[in-house]
Amino acid sequence: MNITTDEDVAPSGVAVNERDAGASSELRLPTVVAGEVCMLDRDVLRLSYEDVDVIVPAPSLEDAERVIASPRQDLSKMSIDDITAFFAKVGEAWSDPANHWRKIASTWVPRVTGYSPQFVEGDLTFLGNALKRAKQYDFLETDLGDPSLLDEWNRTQAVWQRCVPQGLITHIMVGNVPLASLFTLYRSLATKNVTVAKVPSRDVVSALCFALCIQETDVDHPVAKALSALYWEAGSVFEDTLLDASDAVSVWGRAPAIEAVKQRVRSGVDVIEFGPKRSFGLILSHDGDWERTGLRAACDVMAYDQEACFSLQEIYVPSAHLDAALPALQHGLESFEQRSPRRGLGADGDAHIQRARLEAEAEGWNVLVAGGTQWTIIATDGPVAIPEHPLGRVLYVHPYRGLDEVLALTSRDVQTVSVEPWDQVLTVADDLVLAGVDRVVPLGRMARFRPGFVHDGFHPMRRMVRWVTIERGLEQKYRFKADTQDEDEARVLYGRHELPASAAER
Amino acid sequence: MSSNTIRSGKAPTTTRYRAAEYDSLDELIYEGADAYNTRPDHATVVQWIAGAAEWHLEHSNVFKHLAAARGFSTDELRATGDLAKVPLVSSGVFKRRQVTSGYEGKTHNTTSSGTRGSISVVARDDRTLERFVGTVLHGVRSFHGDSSLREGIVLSPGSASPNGVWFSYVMTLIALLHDASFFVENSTLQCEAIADALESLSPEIQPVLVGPPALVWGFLDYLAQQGRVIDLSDRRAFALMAGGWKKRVGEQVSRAELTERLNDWLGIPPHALRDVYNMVELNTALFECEEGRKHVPPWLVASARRPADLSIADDGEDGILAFLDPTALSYPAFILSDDFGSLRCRACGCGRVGPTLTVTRRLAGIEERGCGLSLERYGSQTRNGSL
Repeated sequence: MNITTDEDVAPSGVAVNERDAGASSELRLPTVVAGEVCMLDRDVLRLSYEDVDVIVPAPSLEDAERVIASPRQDLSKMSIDDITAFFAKVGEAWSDPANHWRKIASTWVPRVTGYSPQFVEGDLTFLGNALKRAKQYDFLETDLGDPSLLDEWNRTQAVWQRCVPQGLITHIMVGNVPLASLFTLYRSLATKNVTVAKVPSRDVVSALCFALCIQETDVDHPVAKALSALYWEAGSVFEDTLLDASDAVSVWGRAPAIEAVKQRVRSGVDVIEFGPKRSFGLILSHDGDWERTGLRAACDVMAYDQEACFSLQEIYVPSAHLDAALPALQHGLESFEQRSPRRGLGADGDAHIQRARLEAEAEGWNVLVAGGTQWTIIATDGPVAIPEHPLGRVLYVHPYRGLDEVLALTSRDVQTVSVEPWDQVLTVADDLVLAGVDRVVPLGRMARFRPGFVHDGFHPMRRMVRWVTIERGLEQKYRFKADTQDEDEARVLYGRHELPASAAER
Repeated sequence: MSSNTIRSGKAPTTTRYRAAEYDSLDELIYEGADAYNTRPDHATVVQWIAGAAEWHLEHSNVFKHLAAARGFSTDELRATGDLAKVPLVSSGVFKRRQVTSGYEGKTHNTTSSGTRGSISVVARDDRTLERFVGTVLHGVRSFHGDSSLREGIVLSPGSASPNGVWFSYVMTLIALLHDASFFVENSTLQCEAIADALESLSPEIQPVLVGPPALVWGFLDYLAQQGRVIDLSDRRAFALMAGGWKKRVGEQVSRAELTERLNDWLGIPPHALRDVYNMVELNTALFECEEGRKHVPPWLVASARRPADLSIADDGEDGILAFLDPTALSYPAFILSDDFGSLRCRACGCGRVGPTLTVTRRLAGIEERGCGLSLERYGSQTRNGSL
C-alpha cells in the first residue's frame, strides 16, 4: 500500500466521489476535524491499495489546533444517558441499509482490506447492534462498574467517587480488525473525551465512515463536536503537535510503533497500549464428535484470517487424539474456505506460507495443504515455539502429553485460549491465566465476545477517565472510625485527650 | 476445493554417489573457459544436481525430510530430468537451526549480516569454500578477463569478521585475485585514503573499486563534497558492487544516480558499474555483464517460483527466486530465497548465452500484517541443534 501526496487532484464539490476507472477504482472521502466535515478542496493524500485508491484531505497544523481547541465543557457535563441515547441514534443510522456511510463501508472495506464482503458485513452489523442502548450499558458496566460514575458522585467506602474525562485523547489505530477502530471511537467519546483518531492506513474506510455517520447524526451534538478522525503520517509534526497536547494516548500496533509513540509523549500522560498478542486453542480430552470440533477450531482460525490478536494460530491436542483431530481440522478449514474464502494475500503473503510449509517439512512435520495457499495444517512433533507465524489460515497443531508442556509456551503474549470440552475449563483456567492468558473462551468463540469481555487484561475505559474522590469528613465514621472530629483533632492537633477550652468554645 | 491427502512420504531410493560427476563440475568451475558461450547440456546439469541430491539425501536430515515430504527420488530425477521436483530448503531454515550435510574436517559457520534481525548460519567445509572461491574466480575471468595489472580498492575491512559474516569474508577474496587494499577501519570508510590511493596508482594499473553500494555512494559523496575529480577514464577501471543496501535501504539511490556520479567524479562509464549477486545460502556468485544483466553460471539452476504454488514462473514473470547449486557439499544448497525476481532466456547483447536473472525486491516482513507479535521474544524458545 502506497501513500502519496497528490496536489493536483481536483477539488471535489461533493462529500464522496467514487469512480471506477478501468483496473483501478478511486474513493474520495472527507475527514472530520473538530466535529466538522473536512472536504477535499485542499492538498490531499492518496492511499493506494492493490486496485483501489482512497483519497483523503491532508491534515494541516491548523487542523491540529482546531482539534486541540475542540469544545470540552458541554460534553463533560452531558449525562451518560443522553450520550447513550445519541449513540443509539447513531446505531440506528448505521444499521439503516440506505445510510450513505454504511453503504460506502459495506462496498469499500472489503476492497481495501481484502476481507470477504460477508465477513465485513457481519462486523458492520455487529457494531449497529452493539450501539443499542441496553448493550451500551452492558459495555459501560463492564469497564466502569456503574455508568452513573460518569455523571455524579457515588458513595463508596469513606469517599464520594466519580470519574471525569481525561480531556483530549489521541488514538493511533491499526486496521487488521476494523471493529477495533470503531469501538475505540465509542469508548473515548462515551467517556466524554475530546477524541482524535488516526485512522489506520490498512483500512481508512471503516473508521472514517463511522466517524462521518456520528457527525451526520447530529452535527451540533457535543459528542459530534468533540470528534476528529483523519489520516496523518507517523512521526509527523502534526502528530507531535497532537501528542504534545494530549491528556492520554491510546496506541495499537507492534512494539516498535508503541515505543516510538511513548518516547514522544509528555511525562505523566497515560499511554494505553494495545500491543502484539497471539492466541491458541487447547483440547483437553474428546468424546468423539470431531467434526464439530474441527468446525469450531476453523471458525476461530478464519476470523480476520488470523490477523487479529484473538485469532487461533496454534492448537494443542492430546497426542492420543492427533490422528483423529487432523482430518477434522482439515474438513473444518475446507468448509470455511467455501463459505467464507480467505482473502488474497498477494505474493508476499503466499510466499510466507510456502516458506512455512517448507520449514515444517524440513523438520519432518506432517503438512496438509489446500490446492493453493488457502489453508494449511502443520502437525508438529510436540509443543514448540513458532518463531514466525505466516498467518493466512495456517494452523499449527501440537500434540502434547501434559499441560505443563502447554504452559511452558504460554506467556503474557497470549491473549485468548479457546478450550474444549468446555465443561473442563475450570481444571485449567487458573493455570492458564497465571501463565499470562487474559481470556479463556469455548473453542469456536474466540471472535465472539460476551458482555463482560475484558480487553488484553484491563478495562480500557477506566484508563480513559480520571478517578476522582471527595473524601468524607469524620461525620461519616465508616467502619473504623469511632472518634468525633473534635476527639480526633484533640489527639492529633493538640496531643491531648480533649480540645483546649478555647478551641472547644469555638 | 480439493486438497492433498496426508503425505505418506515414500522413502527415496538412493544410488551410490558417483565421484566422476563432480570431476566435470570442478573442471568447469576451476578451468572452464568460454563457459557462457558453450554451456553444458541439460542432461549434464541434471547429473550434477542428482549427484548433489544423492549426497544430501545420505548426509542431511533436513533434505531427507523434504524429499520424503515431496516424494522426491534421484532415480526419477535422472529419468525425467525434471529439476522442478527437487525439494527446496527455505532460507528461513538456516535462521532456525544448523543445517549440515556430509563434510570432512571442520566446517566454518558463515552468517548473514542480520539486516532483518535474525541471522542465517551456513556451515561450509573447506571443499565447499574452495568451490565458492572457484565460482568467484570463474566469474571474474568470464566477465572481466584476466589481468595481473589490476588492483582492488576494497570498501570493506581487510580481515574477515570474527563472527563469520559471509559478506565480510567474500570481500577478502579480492586479495586472492589481485593486489588489494582495504579501506574500512573501525567501521569507518576512509574516503581520503581511497582517493589518495586511486590518485597514486601507476598509470598501467587497472583499478577495481569493490564494495557495497552504500559505501560506494558514500565515497562518491565525499568526492562531490570535496570537489575532487579523479579521472580513471583511460584505465579501464570498473566498479563491482555487492551486498545490497542492507540496513541503509532507506538511503538507497537509483542505479542511474550511481552511474552518473561514478562517471562524473571517477570517469568510470556506466557499463563499467557491475553488480555481483550472492547470498550466504548460495555457494555461487552471479556476475553482471556489460549490458547490466546477471548471467546464471552454467552449473547453477535458477528459477522464479510462483508464490501461490511454487510452480516455475514463465520467462520474465516475477516470482520467488530459487536455486539448485551443486557446488555445496557441507549443506544442501537447494534454496528458496527471500528475493523476488525473474529469469529470462532471451539473447543478451553481450553475446553470452543462457538465462539472466533480475532481482526485483526482498520479501516483505510478516509484521506488516496481523497483530505484530514480537517474534524475537517468542522465538527464543525455538528448537536448536542440528538435523
